[in-house]
Amino acid sequence: MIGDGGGNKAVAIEDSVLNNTVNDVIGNKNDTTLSAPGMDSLYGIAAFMAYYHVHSPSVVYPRDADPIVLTAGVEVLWGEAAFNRDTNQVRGSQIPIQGAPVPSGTRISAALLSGTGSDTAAIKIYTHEYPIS
Amino acid sequence: MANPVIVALPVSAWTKVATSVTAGTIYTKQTTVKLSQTRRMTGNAAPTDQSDAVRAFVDGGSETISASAPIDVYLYNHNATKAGSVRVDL
Repeated sequence: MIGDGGGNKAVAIEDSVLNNTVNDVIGNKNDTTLSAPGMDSLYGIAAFMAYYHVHSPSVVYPRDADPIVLTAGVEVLWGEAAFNRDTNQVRGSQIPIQGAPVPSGTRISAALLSGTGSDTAAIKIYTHEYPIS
Repeated sequence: MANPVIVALPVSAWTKVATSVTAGTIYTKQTTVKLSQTRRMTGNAAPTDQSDAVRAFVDGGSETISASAPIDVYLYNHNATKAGSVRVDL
C-alpha cells in the first residue's frame, strides 16, 4: 500500500440515505438521535434496537377486563407453554412465549390443551411493543 | 472512475505515476524490472535519491493507494537498461 491508509475513511454525512459505499452503510454518529432512530445505517439501526428494545412499554391484554377463558382445544400459534395444576391451584405464573414481532392489528389466538379435555384456563396476554412492525 | 493509464518508467529514474490522489491502484506490467516506491504530499518536491524508497510490488502485482490527504506517487526503476511500465487506476 502507498500512503497512510486513510483513503476513503470519511464517514457518511449525517442521516444519509445513500447506499453507494461501505461508509454509507455504517453511517454517522450523528445519525438521527435515539429519540427518533433512523434505519438508514448500521448506527441508526443499532440505536433503534437498543433504545426501543430496552425502553418500550409493556402491555397486558385485556388490561382491565377479566382474563380470557380458554377451553380445551388444539391450536396454539407462535409458541407453547406448559404448567401444572392440582385440585386447588394452578402452579404456573407468567410464562413467556417468544416470537418475532407481528404487525399491529394481528389477531393472536390461543387454545388450551388439557389432559382431561374439560379444563379451562383464564389468561391475560403480556406483550412488548415495538414502534414499527 | 477513469480508464486505466499506462505510465512508462525510464531506467534509473523516479517517475511520478499519480498526482494528487487519495485512492487508486497501480499494477506492474512486468516482473523483471525492480521497482521502488515513495510518495510526497501533493505540492512538495519530487524525490531525488533513494533515502525513503521502499521496494514496490513485494506482495504481488499491485499496490493500493490509500491516503487521507492528496499525495503524489513515485516509482523508481532500478534497471539500468530496461524500461518498465505500470498501469494506474484512479
